[in-house]
Parts: sequence; C-alpha cells; structure tokens
Amino acid sequence: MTAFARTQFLRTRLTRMLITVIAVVIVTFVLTQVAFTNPAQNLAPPNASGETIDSIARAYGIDRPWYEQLFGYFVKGPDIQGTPTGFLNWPPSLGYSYQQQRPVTELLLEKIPATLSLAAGALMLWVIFSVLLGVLAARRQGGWFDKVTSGFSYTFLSLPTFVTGMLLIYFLFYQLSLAGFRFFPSSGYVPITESPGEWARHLILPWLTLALAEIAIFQRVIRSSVLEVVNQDYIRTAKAKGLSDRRIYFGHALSGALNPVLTLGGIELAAIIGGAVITEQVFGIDGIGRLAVTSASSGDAPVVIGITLFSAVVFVITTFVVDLITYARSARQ
Amino acid sequence: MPLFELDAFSVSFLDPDQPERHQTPARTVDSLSYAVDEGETLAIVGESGSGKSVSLLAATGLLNGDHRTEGAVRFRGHDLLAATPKQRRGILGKEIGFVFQDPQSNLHPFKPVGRQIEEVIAEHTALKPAARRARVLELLGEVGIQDAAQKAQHYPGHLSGGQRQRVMIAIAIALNPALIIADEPTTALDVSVQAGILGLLGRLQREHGTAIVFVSHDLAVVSRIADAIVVLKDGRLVESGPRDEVALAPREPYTRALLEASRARIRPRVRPIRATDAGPAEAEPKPLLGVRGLTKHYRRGSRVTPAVTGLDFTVGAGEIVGIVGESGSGKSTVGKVIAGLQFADSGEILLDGHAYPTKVSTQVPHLPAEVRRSVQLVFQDPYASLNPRRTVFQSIAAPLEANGWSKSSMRERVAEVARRTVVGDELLNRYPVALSGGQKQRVAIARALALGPRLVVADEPLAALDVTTQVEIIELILSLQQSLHTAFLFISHDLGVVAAIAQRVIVLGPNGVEEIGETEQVFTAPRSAYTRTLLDAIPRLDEAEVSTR
Repeated sequence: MTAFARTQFLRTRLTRMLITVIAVVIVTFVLTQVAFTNPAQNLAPPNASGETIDSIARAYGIDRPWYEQLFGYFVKGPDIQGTPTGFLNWPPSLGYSYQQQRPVTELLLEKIPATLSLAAGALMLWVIFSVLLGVLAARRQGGWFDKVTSGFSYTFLSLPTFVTGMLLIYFLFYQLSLAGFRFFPSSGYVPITESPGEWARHLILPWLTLALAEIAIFQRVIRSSVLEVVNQDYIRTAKAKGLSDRRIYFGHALSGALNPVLTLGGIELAAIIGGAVITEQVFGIDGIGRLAVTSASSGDAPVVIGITLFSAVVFVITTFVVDLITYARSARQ
Repeated sequence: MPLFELDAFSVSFLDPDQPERHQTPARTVDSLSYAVDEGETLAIVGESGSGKSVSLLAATGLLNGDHRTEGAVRFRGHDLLAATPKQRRGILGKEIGFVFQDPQSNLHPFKPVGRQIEEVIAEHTALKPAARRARVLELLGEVGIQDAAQKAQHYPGHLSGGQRQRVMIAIAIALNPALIIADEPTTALDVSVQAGILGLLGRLQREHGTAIVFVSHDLAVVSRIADAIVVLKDGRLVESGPRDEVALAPREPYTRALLEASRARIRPRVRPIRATDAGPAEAEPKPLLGVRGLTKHYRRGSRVTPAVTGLDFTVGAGEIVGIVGESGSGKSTVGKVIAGLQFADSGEILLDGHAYPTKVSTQVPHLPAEVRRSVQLVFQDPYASLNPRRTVFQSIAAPLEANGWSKSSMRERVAEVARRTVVGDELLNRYPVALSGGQKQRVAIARALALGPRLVVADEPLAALDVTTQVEIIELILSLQQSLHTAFLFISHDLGVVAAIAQRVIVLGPNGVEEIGETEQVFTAPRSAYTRTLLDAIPRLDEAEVSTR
C-alpha cells in the first residue's frame, strides 16, 4: 500500500471511530434522560421542599431542556464551580457525579487500574490456554483429548460467570480454607503499586473465572479454524519438509488460522475492559463494572454516560488495532 | 537396489463413519509396482483419478483422509510404511524433496519465502542462522531467481507463478535430496513458464544426479524429460518401459489414446466450418460482436496496472475466436468486460452494432436483458463454478428460472441442451460431487447454452481438465458451433488448445496485441516474435524432437 492510500485509510477509519463514539454518547444521553426521571429529587435530602429540589435542579443545570444539556455535555458541561468543561475540551471533562460530588474522569481513572489488571491477567491465561487446548484438540481430532476438552468447553460455555465465580470461591477459598490451606482470598483488590504479590494473589480467582469462559469459546474457535487449515496444501508442504508435528501445528497451521480468532478476540477483550460487571461484583473488585452497577442503580447519569463512553472508546480502539493486524496480514497475500 | 520402489502397493480410502474392520473399500491404487534408480527420471502418467498422485502421497505418508495401505514402499531398501513417524520425518525434506502442482496453495501465505526455505534446512541440519541464510540465497540463485536477497523477504503472494514454483523447487533441493517427487509441477503454469521449470529440473538433475519421479497427465510434457514412463489407469499399471518405447511405440490401446489426445490438441484447425454452415458467406459479414479500443486498468491504492489497452477485434456470428496469452496479459479481463462482469475504462463493445452501456463509475453493471441472454459464460474451474447444493438439473435450469420460464418448458429446454452437450439423463438428478471433471464442464456448458445465447465466452474452460477430457470438450464445442451456430470467444493460455478449436486467434502479449489472424496462418507463419516463442514452448510429441534430446 502506498503512503497516500495508507493516510487515506487511516483518515477514514479515525473519522468513523470518532463518529461512533459521539453517536454512543448521544444515545446514552437520551437513554439516561428517559430512565432517570427527576434526578434532583434523588439528590435532595429526604422531605425537601419543592423549592429546594428546584434550586438543586437549577444548580446542576438539569432543569434545562435535554438538547441544551446534551450540547452542554460536549462543549460546556454542568459544572457547579463554573470552570469551562465538556467532552470536546482538552482535557475532556465528563461532568460531575451527582452522588460523589467528584469529576467523572477522576472516578474513572481511579477505577480503571483494577479493571485493566483483571482484563490483562485474564487475557494472558485465556490466550495461552485456548491456543494450547485448541491446537492440541485439532491435532488429535476425535481422540480422547479432543473429547475431554470439548466437554470442558461446553460446560463452561453453559455456565454463567457468576456460577463459575461462586464455584471457584466455594472450592478454592471456602473448602481449601477449611482444610487449612488459606491461600486464595475470597474477594478484594490490592493495587499493584502497593504489593505486586498481593495484587496477583487477590486476582487469581477472578482471572480464572473470566478466562474459563473465554477459553471455552476460543478453544472451540481455534480448534475449528486450525482444522480448516490443516487440509490446506501448504500444511502438506510442511509435512513434506519433514517438520515435527509441533512445528507444523504451532508454526504453520496456527498462523494460517488466526484471522477469525483475532476478530472475535478483539471484541471479547473490549467487552472485558469495558467492565467485567459480574466478575467484579462477585469478587468485590472495585473497578469500572462495579461503578457502572452502583451509578446506574442510584441514577447517577453523568457516571453512567462516562462509563459507556469509556467502553465505546475501548471497543473502537481494540477493533481498530485488530483490523490493522488483519489488514497487514492480508496485504501479504 | 533401486532408490525408491513401490511393491504391490495398494491404497484404499475408508469411510470415517464406519469402523475400519467392517470395511472392504475399493482400492484407489491397486497392486502397483514400479522402481526408480539413482539419477533416473521416472514419469508417471495417467488421467485424474488414475491414482498417480495418491500412490505417491500415500507412500510417503502425506495423504490426507482415512486410508489403508497394503504392500511395501522402499527407499534405499528401508520400508517407509513400517518406519516410525520420526524416521520418516528424517527422510522427508532431506532425502526426498517434493514439488507440488499449485505453488500458490502449497506455499504458506503468511511466511516470507526465504524463511520457508530456511525452515527445511534448520530442521535437518545444525547450521547456524547466518549459514542457513547464505544457503537460502545460494538456492534462490540456483533455481534462477534474480535479486535473491530481496525476493527472500517477499511473501508468496508477491511472486509470479513461475517464481513461486522455483521457490518450491528450492525447498525441494535445499538438502541435495537423492529423490525429488514432482507432482504435476507445471500444470498450473503458463506454457513458456512451464518450459523454464522443466529445463530447471533437467539441469538440477544433471548437476546433482538427483532421481526424479515426475507425475503428469500429459505425455507430451513427460516425454521431454523422462528416462522411463509408467502409465496408470484406475489405480492399475497399464504399461511401463523406457521412454522411447512407451512414448513412440506404445503397446497398449490406452497409452495410444493418451498419445493421440496429446497430439490432437496441437494440430491447428485449418478448415473454417462457418462457410458451409452459415449459408452463403458474405464478403464482409457483419460481426456479432465488435470490440473497439477496449481499455481497462486495475487500481490498487495509487498503483495502476494496465490490464488491456486499446484492444480491437470482432467475432462473427457462429465463429470461434481464440484469445491466447500468458497470465497477466489481460485475456480474462477481456472476457469479463464482454460478459458484463466488469466495466471497461474506455472503449466500446457492440453487439449486433449496438453499443453496451458503459458506466465507468458503477462496480457491478447491469446489462440490458437482451445482452445478458445473448452472451453467456463458461468458467475455468467446473468444480468451483457449479453450486454443490444444486442438482445438475437445477444448475442448468437456473438461467431459465431467472428469466421466468414455466416448469414444463424448463424441463423440455433442459432435456434439449443436456442432449446437445451429451449430459446423460441419469446425471440430471445428481449433485456436482458425483460428476467427473469432464461431466461438470459439460454441465457448465449446458447451463451457458440454456438461454440459446449467440456468443459464449469460455475463460480457460479446459485448464482444469485432463488431456483426454480436453479433447472431448473441444469436440463438443466444435459440434455445438456446427449444430447451433453459436459463436465462442475461447480464452486460453494454451496455444495447442486454441489451435485445435479457433478459426481466428488473437495473441495477447505483455504489451498488448501481438497478432490477430487466421489460426493456420498464426501457427504456420507467425508474424510476431512473441508468438514464435510461445509456439516453441509447446511440448510436442514429435519423434524428431524426442530422438534429438
């Protein structure tokens, strides 16, 4: 691809990404308007007079029509201190949380490390094991290993994460602790900056919970994708070179089979970074997912919009990166 | 002791859904015995389905699918079938090199070719990376790839077909094997490229004393390089012996038929059939199809590749015109534009003197129904161009259905074209998977004829077929031209085929039209040097050439 075509490609893609994100914000904004009726009432102390409620609404700017509020969200947010804010400002401001009286960006930045830690660890486990199990199952298609891993995959595919999480807690925390082996904590999160060892110890069970569900999907995807590739002529060439099975499967078949895996992987990864709601809830990890639950149930519209926006940005970027990789691969052909 | 030997070797495919002990499957290869000595070239010839490739793949453990082997395969006296996978891996790639038919599908699409060569060296030797890379460059030079250091970084997709096959050969000879198994190594290539590859294999053999087992469906190709020839049919050995005996004085009728097929393809068609059949020939017959100044460029990014530039020609009613050229000459583009699958950048196409609409901006054009009915297409690969989930009847009837024919008239019409194209009644309810390559191509032709077109554009309709089947299809097209007065635009890379079928020939070179003329004139007295080199590259079964080898 020429430099010109490349910049062209990048420009259209980036524009499209920006449009996606803005569209997501608008839709969420409208949804919160519909879902959270009269937020000022929630903010006011109990038994507050109508006058108090009105003044709160005025102070937050939520007495104005929704389209004015939406416009304000982009260029000048509902700011009590009167500083210029808004999503399109730099640094972008996403307004103030009703409940916590803090900027939404600050809240997000505080919660992101926990969620990212969760996602990164799960991703590692998930990639390593689904590749290993998927390729090995394909190599011995129909053999006992294939049958056992299929059974495993279908089990975890049909188990919801909260059940897997509970089961892990029951066996690896509760029963092990009863047996005198107290290693796994049942919940909590320790920042990596405080103690990397504790960080990992607290995250092992959540990582497993998330990874098990993803391994179940990706083991199947990789297996069938590899099986499709192994009958290709170039795999026969690899065999004709006298290469070992390990090289043939992991060196040749896997790299030929990666495209569908990459596409699906990007989507799943984005979903986890955007907030693994259930896993965070089960293990009491104070991340984006938990924040989403608490703010949605308390009608904290700015936080809900902020989280949706964050998820959308993550999604758009991961998809873009995956597309770049697939594009680079296809350009070789 | 022969270097490589099959001894009463049989292969049978198993049904994976049945337990093996309950099966007595038909043998695809039946008690086959042959042997190659060091430094010898053995050719194995047969039609597709004769078991020529299957026998070699099964013998070396490269055959996919559940199968059972019987008999023995010996390499330097060791039984390959009894060898452990590890022992066999030590021989494959090191002592036996392979060159397969289609270098595009046989090279890994996502690995640079240099690495694909290096890999086989790394597997079998203890050479350091730097030494391995030096050897890769040396090999690329040896197989005739210019600019080796740069080409080694390329992915297969960025090389030409001939270069890819040279890379395959470099992989095969990387460790100076005693034996090279070449399975139809030139079938997927252009005639002139084919000559280069054959020459390369011959040279490598002379220099290194490598034995070659050369599998081919084409006796003409084989007679150029083989010391001995084995002829197979339906998994059994028909005839074997020294080259001169088998290729020049075959004992078996089947071998003679193969030989005849190879010759028929390159006999120029002399007598124009049109004059007798089309009534009184006019001095200047009004052409059915006129092409004027046809130009088409392909764009990828800012790179523009010209496919066709300023092409002019005509096709008369009921005439067969051949377009010959090598890959990249734009011959398929011409067919696609005429059939309305692509638009030209500029130029005019006239049917009966009326111009097609040419809207350059639209990607998928919609031609008027009249044009679509009059111009039909037959594609190269009948395996890919028939829908596997449709019966033969449904495939042939599809264009009629699209044009709103009634059920009963459809049945009549399908029966009619099936009869014309010698597609038996018993085939009409079958699915493509149950048909041979030749039968599939007949069905594809029947489908093209269903609407009674006046022009059929056939893009490499024979390239996927055996020599004997090619001759059948050529005869079918000639008879259709006679009886239905249908014109054909016959596109092929194979001058031999075009010679046998076309009345006039257009030769497309890399820089455009090289020559347009009557078939006989182009073949006996070519005006362009390019045509002459193409003609020289055709493998021939002339006795003179064989004896002067």
